Amino acid sequence: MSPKNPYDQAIDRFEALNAAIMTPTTNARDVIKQAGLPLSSGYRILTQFEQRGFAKRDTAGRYLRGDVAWQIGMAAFGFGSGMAAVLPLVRYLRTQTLRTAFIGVRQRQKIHVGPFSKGRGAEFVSDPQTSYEFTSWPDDALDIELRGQPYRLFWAAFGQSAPDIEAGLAVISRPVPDLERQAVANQVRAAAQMAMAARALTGEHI
Amino acid sequence: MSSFTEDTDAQLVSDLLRELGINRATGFALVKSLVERGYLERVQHGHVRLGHKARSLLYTPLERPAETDVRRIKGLTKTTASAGQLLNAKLDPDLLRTVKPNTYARPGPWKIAFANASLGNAWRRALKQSVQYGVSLHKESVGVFRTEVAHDDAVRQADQIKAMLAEGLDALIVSATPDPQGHLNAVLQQARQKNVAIVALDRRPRERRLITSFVTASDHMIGGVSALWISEMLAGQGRVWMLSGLEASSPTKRRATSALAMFGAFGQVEVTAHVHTNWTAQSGFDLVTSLIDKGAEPPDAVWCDSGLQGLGSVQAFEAAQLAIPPHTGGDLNGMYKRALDLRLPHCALDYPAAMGALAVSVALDLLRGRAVPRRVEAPVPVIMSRGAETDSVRADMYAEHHVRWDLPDVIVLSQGLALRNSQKGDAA
Repeated sequence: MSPKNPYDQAIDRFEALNAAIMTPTTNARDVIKQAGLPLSSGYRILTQFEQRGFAKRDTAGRYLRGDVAWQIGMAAFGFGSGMAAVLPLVRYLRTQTLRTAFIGVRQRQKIHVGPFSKGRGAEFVSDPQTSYEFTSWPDDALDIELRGQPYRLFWAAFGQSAPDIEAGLAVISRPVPDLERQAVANQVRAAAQMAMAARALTGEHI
Repeated sequence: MSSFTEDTDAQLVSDLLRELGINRATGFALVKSLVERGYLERVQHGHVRLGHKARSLLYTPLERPAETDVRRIKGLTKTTASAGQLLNAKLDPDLLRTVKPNTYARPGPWKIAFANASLGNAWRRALKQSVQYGVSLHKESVGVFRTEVAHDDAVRQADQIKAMLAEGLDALIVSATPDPQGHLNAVLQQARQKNVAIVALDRRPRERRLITSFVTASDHMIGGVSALWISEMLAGQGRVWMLSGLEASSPTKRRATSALAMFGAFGQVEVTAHVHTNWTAQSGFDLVTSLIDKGAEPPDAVWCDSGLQGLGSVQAFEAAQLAIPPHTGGDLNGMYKRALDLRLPHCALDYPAAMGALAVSVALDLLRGRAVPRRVEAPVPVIMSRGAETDSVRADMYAEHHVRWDLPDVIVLSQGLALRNSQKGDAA
């Protein structure tokens, strides 16, 4: 087997760092070790990775995926300009409902999960899956499972990049009575309306 | 790959390489590898666009909150959809508006300056540390960094900015002094004419149209969530003392307004005293001692918009040998230490000094030509003692994980990673 060229090696490092920052590591050394990089060059490589927006750190120093990364993910589904303006709505939705909220992409019978903020207290759930598949699209929410427990996924679209690809905002909730379900669905729809307005305003205001 | 985040259309490889300043031999080989690995895909005539593998970068946790042990919290079994409505979280429209990409784009390394209003209290010193940390994190991108402190003198700050502009600047981070006469307007206008990106930090200049982006945190959340917590702790009924910060400052007003509206929504939560401190433990101690000495009926809870004065309040109750009621207010390490020592029901929303480093990132994003929101809010985590959660207010983090027993009481914890530098500074 011929040795890898330097470009493939660079992509290997990129993928290894991407995997390492998805675990709650608290310092650069752990990330570098987890990514299998040599310590001698690892700090420089990790700094560049962070500077280019593929990683960031919270106030406790734990690494998280950076904003450039998820925006590339959205762009790969055809959603470019204005996505940065939609992000505040994820935290807004989570604050309004206390439940897990995310930006996602619905492609045919699959919802891909993007930037998410987890619910709090009784609505704290494990990390959502990277995607959810369904056979037919229900009226307002999709039944899903998390840790073997039933949940509902509320969805409202705010953009379309192709006939079968739409971007939307979502909330994951424990099963709730009808009245409550309606309230959550309304909040998700209202946030999606704001997202549409935000994208329309992108670049209008300097 | 980030070249596609604004415009997702296929791009000519040679154009991409020219824009990125990559030579053709290296660039074409890299593109070939990216195509083979699925991050890019070829379309007609030398064009590429993002490939299927790039979609895997979508999945992104925005934070890592504390996991609540629901079984430990009596009565906390459900979430109502009305919880957020009760808080009536307001969304500033500027959060959803972005600066036009490439307006301030230019090649680096860049010259950045920080015009700081003051270093008058522990929080302001933490903010400065955070800005410096942000610069150190991006040292390869920041060619020149300069900082000036105006000691809350608007004329002095205007002169400082003028001098910094004369030396050439790409981005100006300004935490504005109180400026009722509008002394900063002319010099900020001059900066705009020179196409300098102006990022306001914590305190915005009077003329909002002059700034490019504003980095701050939500005072509405700080005031409202802490008042909601007290109201639910008291089951909607009881006496509250309010200890606000500096009377003339806008954060003080916004936090108190949100808190009063929340208490009002509960009907039977009565604010029996509302005093203004100067955000120091001593002023908190003096004012609470004075209320106790005057024979005011002890409250069922004390709402503080910061632990800077909250610590003094707790100490005043201790000194008077009275039962210490639940308190709000974070920021200060000493407040967390004392609340944990006393097992005091405590809810705090730190006003994040880490916004300093965030402002540096925002300035650099503008210079890189990225789309940046007109308003950027640093997250305000809810930090609570264990067992103090209520139906609507849940912990993002428990106080025992936030407190730093190894650091002095006067340290402001919300400066994030800059704390390491401040530790070194304190040791020195």
